[in-house]
Amino acid sequence: MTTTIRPRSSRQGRCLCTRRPGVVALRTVTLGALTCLALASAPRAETTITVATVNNGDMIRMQHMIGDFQARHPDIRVDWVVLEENLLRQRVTTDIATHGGQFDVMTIGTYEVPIWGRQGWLLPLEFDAAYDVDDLLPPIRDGLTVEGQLYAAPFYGESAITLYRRDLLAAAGITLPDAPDWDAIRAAAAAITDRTAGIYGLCLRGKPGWGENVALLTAMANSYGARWFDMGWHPQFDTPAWAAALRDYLDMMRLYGPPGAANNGFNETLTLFEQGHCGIWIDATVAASFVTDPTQSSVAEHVGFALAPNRPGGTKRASWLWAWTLAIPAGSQKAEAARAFVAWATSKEYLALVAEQEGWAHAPPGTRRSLYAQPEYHALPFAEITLHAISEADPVHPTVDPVPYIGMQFVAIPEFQAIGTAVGQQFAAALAGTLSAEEALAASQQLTLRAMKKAGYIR
Amino acid sequence: MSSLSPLLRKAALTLLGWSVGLTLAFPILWTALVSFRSEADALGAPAAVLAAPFTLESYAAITAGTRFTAPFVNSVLIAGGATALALLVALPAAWALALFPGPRTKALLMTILGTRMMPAVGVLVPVYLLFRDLGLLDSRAGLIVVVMLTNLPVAIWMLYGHLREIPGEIFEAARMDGAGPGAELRHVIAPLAAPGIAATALLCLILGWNEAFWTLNLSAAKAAPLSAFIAAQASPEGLFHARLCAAAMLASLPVLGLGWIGQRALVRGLTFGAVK
Amino acid sequence: MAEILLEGLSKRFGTEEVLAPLDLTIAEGSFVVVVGPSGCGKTTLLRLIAGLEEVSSGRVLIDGRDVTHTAAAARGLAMVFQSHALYPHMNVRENIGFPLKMAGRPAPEIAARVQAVASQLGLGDCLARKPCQLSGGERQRVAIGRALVRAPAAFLLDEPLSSLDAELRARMRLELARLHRALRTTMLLVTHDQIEAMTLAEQIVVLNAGRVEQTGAPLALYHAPCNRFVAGFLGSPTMNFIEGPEAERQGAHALGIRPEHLRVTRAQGLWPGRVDVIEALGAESFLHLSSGQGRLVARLDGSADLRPGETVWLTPAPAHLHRFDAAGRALPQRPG
Repeated sequence: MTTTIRPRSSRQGRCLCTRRPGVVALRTVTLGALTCLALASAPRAETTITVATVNNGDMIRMQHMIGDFQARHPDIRVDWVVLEENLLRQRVTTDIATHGGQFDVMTIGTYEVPIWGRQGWLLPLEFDAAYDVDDLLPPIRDGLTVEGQLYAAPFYGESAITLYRRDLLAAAGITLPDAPDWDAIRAAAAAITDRTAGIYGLCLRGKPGWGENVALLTAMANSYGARWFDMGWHPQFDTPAWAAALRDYLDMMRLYGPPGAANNGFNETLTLFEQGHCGIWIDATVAASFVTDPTQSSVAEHVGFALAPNRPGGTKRASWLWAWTLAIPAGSQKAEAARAFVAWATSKEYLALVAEQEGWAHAPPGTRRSLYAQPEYHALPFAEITLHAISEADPVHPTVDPVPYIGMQFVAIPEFQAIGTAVGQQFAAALAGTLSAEEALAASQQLTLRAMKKAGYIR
Repeated sequence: MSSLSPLLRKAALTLLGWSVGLTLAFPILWTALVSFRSEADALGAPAAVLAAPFTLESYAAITAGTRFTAPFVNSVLIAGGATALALLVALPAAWALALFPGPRTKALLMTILGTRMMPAVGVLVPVYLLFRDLGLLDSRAGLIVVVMLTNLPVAIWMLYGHLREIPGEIFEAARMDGAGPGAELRHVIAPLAAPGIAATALLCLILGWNEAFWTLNLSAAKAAPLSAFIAAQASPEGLFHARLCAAAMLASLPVLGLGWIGQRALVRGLTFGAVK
Repeated sequence: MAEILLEGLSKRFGTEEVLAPLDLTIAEGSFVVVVGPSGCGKTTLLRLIAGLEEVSSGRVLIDGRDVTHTAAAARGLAMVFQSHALYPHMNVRENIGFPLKMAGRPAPEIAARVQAVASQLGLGDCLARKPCQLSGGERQRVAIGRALVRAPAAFLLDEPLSSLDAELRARMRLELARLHRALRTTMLLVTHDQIEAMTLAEQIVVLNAGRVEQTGAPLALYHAPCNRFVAGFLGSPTMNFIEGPEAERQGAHALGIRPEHLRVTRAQGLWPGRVDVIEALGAESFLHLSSGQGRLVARLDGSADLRPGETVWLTPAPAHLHRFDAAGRALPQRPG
């Protein structure tokens, strides 16, 4: 590709040869050949961009769809760097902090975007009218906007919902409301748990990690009226609301949860659910498309959906908001090509392309209103509930009491990765039974306080 | 205990040996087994995984196009290049340290090893900046150099140990027989240290092949070796357990093979030269 | 063949002086043996000449050429090491041929010369063998052959016989002597064994604590040692030393008399002594005696008709009585 002669140059060569016939022909032929050679050896203005991404199904699909992008932009070549999530985060952080310029497009989450955008690490994004930026779901778009500037384009978005087995609940003679509270969840879980049959009423994340059990427990604590920090950045693990949330989590998991739950993250729980071991699972909305896919789920026919639970009479649900987004690092030398790629991958046309080639169920969810306006998409069992959950999510006001931070299942400050993972280890220890709930909360309070003092939030 | 018959004791020891061996090998065996299962079957209960049908779909998926060959070639070039370069530097260094010890030789050796004890992440940013300015990011040449440098202490120490075992008079005899430094290295040191050099090369190859920190952090699309290939298979939201296992198997097979061949070569190498 | 000249040669390791500045001429074609107790610096001396050790001061000249700072490989000397230092990965043929190969000689010439040397040393049958398949004596001969093959300017031999058993050592000693006579190449041998020194050397250098005690022909040194160390080091059994009133009576700090110069009689003599042990070797016997002058050893021809416990009389031959002053220096022979 790089050495093809453009039509213009070959025409030029022919021109030279035909205009001067006779004795000078030899010289001109030589000249022409030289011209052709020179033009041929000069690489065509082709740009290669490097896209860093994770190995999630939707991103793999994006790699398969690249032919469409190539057809629209024949002068842009795309190299992929696919890495495990945490590795990718570390890798792009190093590159972006040192202006290494290795990546032109990066897949990052809603946690990083506001932090990095504020730090000037990301290029602000502007799109033409055809892109229809107003079509993006407002809660998602808000989470990617810093001081009125959009810093990343959402590739797919998710919130949290309750997934349950309609067949098991029906057999137990109970129903779950569309907007259940924790009491209803507990009652249903108790009714369907049958340990001898390997049926566990409630499956929740237990694996330590800020993106694993801490995401779920933060969302759950929010629904209990708890928060990570008060307006003075003081950690709040010593409050009754946190104690109640953790106590109920541990109680329910001990009574109705699967064995070894402290090792279960999203993927492990997904497997359990798909193999028919879980009655109720509260997790990301994307799980809906997995568990209803008959090629990988043995219970695809029997899954019902409800909103994430809240406290009886509570105002906040145990919900969250997350999006995998595409952003352009400030160090990129090929910002124009990178913008073209981001615009393509997050466009309406891309959704239509996936729908056309693989079916609507595989279109990346949770980013555009227009997707949910499609009758075919809206007919999918999880479409309505996902839209509902995302629309209801409010990352700016995630808690009952006011907080100084943004983020529902995380706190959008740079220190959160480390703090969140350390706290996650306390919670996992409590679930495994090596710590009591009180000890886990006390340790979390102490380590968070120390980290926040060290980082200068508290003087 | 003394009443135990020797035969019974032997049987018990054999049993113990096999169970320890199998326990140690279990993770690899299980990885191999899972790699031949479909994604849906891969995460079932152990009994179900054992009973599930054999399939090569994971291998087919991860080797599609140049997904495997490109990083494989990179791994071969990086591990091989780093090993060759490390030997080239380490052999003269070890020779000088072993045959011309000075008052600071011991301290120097400890310093050399000490660099290996330093956590790599501590120098990631400086190295990254250096690579950025030299244009070495995501280049095989850069990775060869950095992998070579991480292996250099090990190579020097191993070769030093091997050279120390050869009586110094043999080298002096070569000098008296008219051999210059080059001839001495070629005709005397290299053949005598051959088993040691082979062992060192093998270790460097394995370490270079398995190196994951620098190869992951300094590569992007072009120079990424198999460490990145494996890291690409894990997903935060999606089930790719069988593929991950298949990737791990594909990536480790060359090293396993190398160890197998190397083992024989090493034994032969050790029995041949028998100094004195 | 070459003359080796050492001028003020010395060696220090750090602050420790291993070899005091020393002048020595090793004449062309001569066989010089450096002898001394272990740790006296003799091996260091050899290595300085070889170029395996750096000189602290002084010069080394080979045939008038200053080689003090010339690399070992370029000095044209051959060395036989105490451990033989054969190349374990080469067979005998390759071992012997190695110096020629290094000198860039053509293969046919190497083959011919290796063959010649091997048959000269009786190694013709084991050319294809590796060093680990050879006996101690064969290894020794290979080491010599390797030195021999390229006709060096001089041979340096570092305790070449010490790793052999007694019988083999005696045989190899003889072979070395024959070899020297046949080649007439300059040889410098280092040993702690005074018998080797006495039997092989044309010239002996006695080294002690880094200093040359005396240089000279073997018998000259034997009969006229310049000090008590040389007197005691050469000769076996060693010279008897007598201190005290008897020595003072003769105007010396100590007297020295070799065992063969003590006359033993039943009836009459100078000093009475009691026989402790008799070592009868057939051709000669050694009597170990206790006397008023301390323990003494006397040598008798043939076997002695004596028993342990018997008292005998001892008389030194006046012409062979050595006198030493308090510093150990030899005093001139008394006239009469």
